[in-house]
Amino acid sequence: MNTTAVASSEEPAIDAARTDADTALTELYAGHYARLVRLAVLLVREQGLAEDVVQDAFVAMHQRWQRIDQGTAPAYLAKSVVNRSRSALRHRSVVARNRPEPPPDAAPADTEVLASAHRAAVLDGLAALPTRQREVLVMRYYLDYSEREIANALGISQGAVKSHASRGAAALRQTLQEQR
Amino acid sequence: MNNDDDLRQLFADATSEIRPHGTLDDIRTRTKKVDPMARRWFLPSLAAAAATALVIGGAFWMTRGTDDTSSTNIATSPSDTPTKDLNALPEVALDVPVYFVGDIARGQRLFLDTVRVTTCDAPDCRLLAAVSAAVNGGSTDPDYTSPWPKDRAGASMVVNSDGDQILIDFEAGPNGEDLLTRKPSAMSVAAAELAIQQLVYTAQAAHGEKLPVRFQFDHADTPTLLGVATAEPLAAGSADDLLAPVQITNVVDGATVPAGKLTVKGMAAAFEANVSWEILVGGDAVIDSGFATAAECCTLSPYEFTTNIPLEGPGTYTLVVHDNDESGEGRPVNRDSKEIVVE
Repeated sequence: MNTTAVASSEEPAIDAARTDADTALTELYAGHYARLVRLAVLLVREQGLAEDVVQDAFVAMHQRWQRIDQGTAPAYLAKSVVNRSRSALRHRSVVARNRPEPPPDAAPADTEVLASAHRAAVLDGLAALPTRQREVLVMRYYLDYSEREIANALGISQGAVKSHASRGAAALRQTLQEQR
Repeated sequence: MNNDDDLRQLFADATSEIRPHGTLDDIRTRTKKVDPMARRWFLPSLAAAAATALVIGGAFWMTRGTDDTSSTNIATSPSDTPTKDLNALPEVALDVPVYFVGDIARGQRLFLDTVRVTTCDAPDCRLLAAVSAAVNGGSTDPDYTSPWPKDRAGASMVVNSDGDQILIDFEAGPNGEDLLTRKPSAMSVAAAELAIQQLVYTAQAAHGEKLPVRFQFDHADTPTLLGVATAEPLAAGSADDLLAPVQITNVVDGATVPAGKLTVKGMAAAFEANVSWEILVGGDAVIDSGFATAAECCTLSPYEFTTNIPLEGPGTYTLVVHDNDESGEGRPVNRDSKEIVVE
């Protein structure tokens, strides 16, 4: 226990714990950062925001390293990214109401146009879904979680997971169909 | 191709061209300079910023992250006693009550949490520690956040009580900038009001007495803070309007508990006063569940239940308490959850 707020760095226990957390951070970053950013893009649409969400999740995990089940750190990070994405979206929707529409993205090179438009359509389709449906679809088909894993991560029943998944998938397919 | 594969492929394709920015160093910058105790006071981004001092009554603390002492603030408490060196102050680890913002079924409300701080053992020290944690985010619960703007780098505050009211005085930024009196554009009016009430509730709980809370900016009364009217000292708003309808209040997230009986206490405003609870293991399976009844129906009142843990040995468990969807239409429920570690 520190006896002063100007903490001494000569606390062996704290130093050891921090080294553990630092090592874990390095490994988890190497193994999961890119995938988690892609997960967050599916959830929040915008890459910059997705990166913020994922970095916040890593910082928070590092902070809590001694208190989490370290064997399940990747799952912990994924859950944290899903939760933080939800908060970030809520926050952003308030911002969006208060500022003008951004200009459309610059057009990519011709050969890329079709593929790029299709990718954008999937992300737009996801963004248009209710939050829960989007979360369930992304956890099911991007993270490959089982219905039970999703139910536990989101704190909802398996029945609700099933219904969100089927409604979400139908709505997403419908949107993509209309754009063809 | 079955439906599942089709969606898997769509999502994989949709993200295939994404080249994530942000390096490990970006994250390290936010973690390495932060002392485990100092972290309870400041967001990492704040701790890494320029010298920051917390001022209270006649004493001040310097946080880590810098050895520059040139920006020490001078207290403006009524007594205006001279500042003392930090090392001369006896310090203790204390648990202080702090309210944070979290999601409920519809919108956001305040949740009562307990935060461990190291501070001097005096009422105003506890008060400052609690309010600082509320502003800077010091909860171990990942579901709880601080709604206060994160870009107040360098800001510090004075918090104390003269017995008639509690003073919360935010100082201007290091270059005299005002980041707090107006509502940030990213914040809704409701969120700003909740942020102000978060501090009123926290200050009153930490002080142990429901005194009016007077907000100041840079040592002077301010007509608004985050755009909320603060010209007059504020009283706490209605708990049923501001506090989350289901809360666990005697277990902190990440707490280590001995094997055996665990008594869980909290507050709930639930239909017929009923809440349900579950203990999950590995985030994966319900190993115990039950119901509890709050003292009163439909208004925030205490509940309590006892569970036997663990059934499956030492490990990490999740405790969940929630109200129930009376409509049967799959509406979201109000809930609170805590990770607990059984030794």
